[in-house]
Amino acid sequence: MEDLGSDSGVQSQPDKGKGTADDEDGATQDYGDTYDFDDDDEFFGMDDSGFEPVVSSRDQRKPWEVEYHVHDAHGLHDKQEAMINRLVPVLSVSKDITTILLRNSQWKEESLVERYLSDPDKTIRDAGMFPNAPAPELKTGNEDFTCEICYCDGPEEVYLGLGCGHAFCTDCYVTYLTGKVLEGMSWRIRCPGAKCKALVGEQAARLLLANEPKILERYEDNLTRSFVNDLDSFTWCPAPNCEYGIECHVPKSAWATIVPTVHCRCGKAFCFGCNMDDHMPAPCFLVEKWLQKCKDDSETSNWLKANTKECTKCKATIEKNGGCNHMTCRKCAHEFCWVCMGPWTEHQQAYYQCNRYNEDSSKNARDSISKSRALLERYLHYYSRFSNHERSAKLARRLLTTTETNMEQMQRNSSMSWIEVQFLSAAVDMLSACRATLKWSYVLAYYMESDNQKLIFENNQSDLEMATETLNELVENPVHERTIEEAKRLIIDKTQYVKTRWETLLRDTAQGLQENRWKFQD
Amino acid sequence: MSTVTRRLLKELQDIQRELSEEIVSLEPIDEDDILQWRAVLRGPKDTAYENGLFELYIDIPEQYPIHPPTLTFVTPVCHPNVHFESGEICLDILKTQWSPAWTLKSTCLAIHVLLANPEPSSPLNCDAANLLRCGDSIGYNSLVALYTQMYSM
Repeated sequence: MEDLGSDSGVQSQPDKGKGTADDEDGATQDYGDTYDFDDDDEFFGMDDSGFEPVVSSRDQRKPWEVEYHVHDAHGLHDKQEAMINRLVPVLSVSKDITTILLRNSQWKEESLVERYLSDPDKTIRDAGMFPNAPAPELKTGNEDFTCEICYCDGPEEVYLGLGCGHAFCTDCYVTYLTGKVLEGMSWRIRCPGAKCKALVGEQAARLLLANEPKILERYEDNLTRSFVNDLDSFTWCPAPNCEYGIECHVPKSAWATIVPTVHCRCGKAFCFGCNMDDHMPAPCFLVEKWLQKCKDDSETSNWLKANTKECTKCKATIEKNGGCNHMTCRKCAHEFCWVCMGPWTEHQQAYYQCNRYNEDSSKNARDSISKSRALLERYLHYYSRFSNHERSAKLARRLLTTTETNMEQMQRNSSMSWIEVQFLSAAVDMLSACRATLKWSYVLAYYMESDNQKLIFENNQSDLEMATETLNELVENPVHERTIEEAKRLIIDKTQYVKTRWETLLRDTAQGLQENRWKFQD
Repeated sequence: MSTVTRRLLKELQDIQRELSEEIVSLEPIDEDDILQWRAVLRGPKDTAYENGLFELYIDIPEQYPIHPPTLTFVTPVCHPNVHFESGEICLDILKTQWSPAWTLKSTCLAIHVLLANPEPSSPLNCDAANLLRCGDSIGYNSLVALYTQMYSM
């Protein structure tokens, strides 16, 4: 897992890009402690920045990289605590109430403070808490107590009541909470009283679940889960079983011009905006459009337009699959000419050859057919390249296994050590990255209107594509008619070149999107 | 004694002491099994259900009252929120809005209220609901009256 952070020198390391301009300074400082990728590896001195001066790598955030932070469960917990503790003195109510207020307002501090200041009591009550209610505690020794759930009563019962006045014995409360926690609930758990809107605060829940460590742990997990789900600037890594949360402050409004690609600590690269796999350089809205287009049968209709005609009488769709131009509609038995679409009766004298070809009506029909055919061809042009790179990316994954065998072979056949054959896996990593980028670059190109700016983009694209293909060939067959040393030199050179081309394309598109350099069409 | 038994015995005591007039009877079907009950509701006054008697079967889970009981009509009922064949009832407090503070008695009362106040926007019986939704209260009421007379008198 951690290897990804430390040895893939060719890949971009967006996590280095800390502390650059657009984010507010406060935020940057706050995440300082959770931000480091490889906490566990520090003992081995394998930090990413080990080969370069720290300052230079930090200052070099690439134009296509965004600032983000990967948090583990502890980090997320600390983050919540920090936000809560910051607000307690502002609202000057108990931490329990502050917490609920924050959660209830989706952690939007400003609007909460505004609402709170205009009517503190109402804000607290609306959130399901009670101003001035004493801290929840387990009570006992009350003669009049009867638990409304199990009807146990008497002074020996231990019970807990919230500010709403409903009180239940701890056994019932714990059973109730356990059920709700296992359903995935946390701070939204309400008092068990019928139609009661009061919330069981975190303090009360922790008190009640003190003897149920497993449930309590699950409860805390649910709290963290809702924290990440409620905040726009947080998301979970979509990789299966990955438990890291990603924090990124690129606002939704900027997703049209910035591709917020983030790299989780588990190795997954994905888009913070749409949670899809990394789709640089195409922005989210084009990706969504493209996938919809591929899924839609809108292309089927394009095909229909290009390959079929409608019967002029009953409008049935007809594909001509052979035979002469004398068409007889299967549906309505209307006879017409395929070429000019006019009724066949007018063709009596000109079997199999329509001499009415140049009349206006037939001209119009032909124009519209060739237009939609051109659109279809355009789509297919981009789609075939898109899917081609998608396939190649899958093959590249297979290439990785053969590369590993190659690497072992090289170690056996030459005097090279393990570290000296790493160039091969580095090359494969680079290839995968390029394939992904190339794939989505065709989506960008498809929607781009043709102008000189597009030409520049396409030049970059074709440079990268050519370089990638050459590298692919080299990696697949590294020692073909070459010595190992020669192959190594070649591959390292080519990888470096591909990296330069790749970075050029990404830099250019990132800047271009920011500057609105391209016009996009539907 | 388990929580559920203690609680149900207590409820039974309360019921034997005082039962509201909407409920004709509410008791376990069999003395040996406290988890299966039977209830008979009186049709609400001034509705097409009036004078009808409606039998309900109540199945109580071991986790009661943390989990809600399942109530189904045994008597066929024509009502937008009651399945005509299975007798299943669509009522929020029996599902998501259940609270352990509800009792069998208060649940039965809630169903009694539901009879008089149908909720046609979440129907189990679409035909009845459609009559109500298109405003045909005469049609709805005569249909209900017909079924009440057929099955519950």
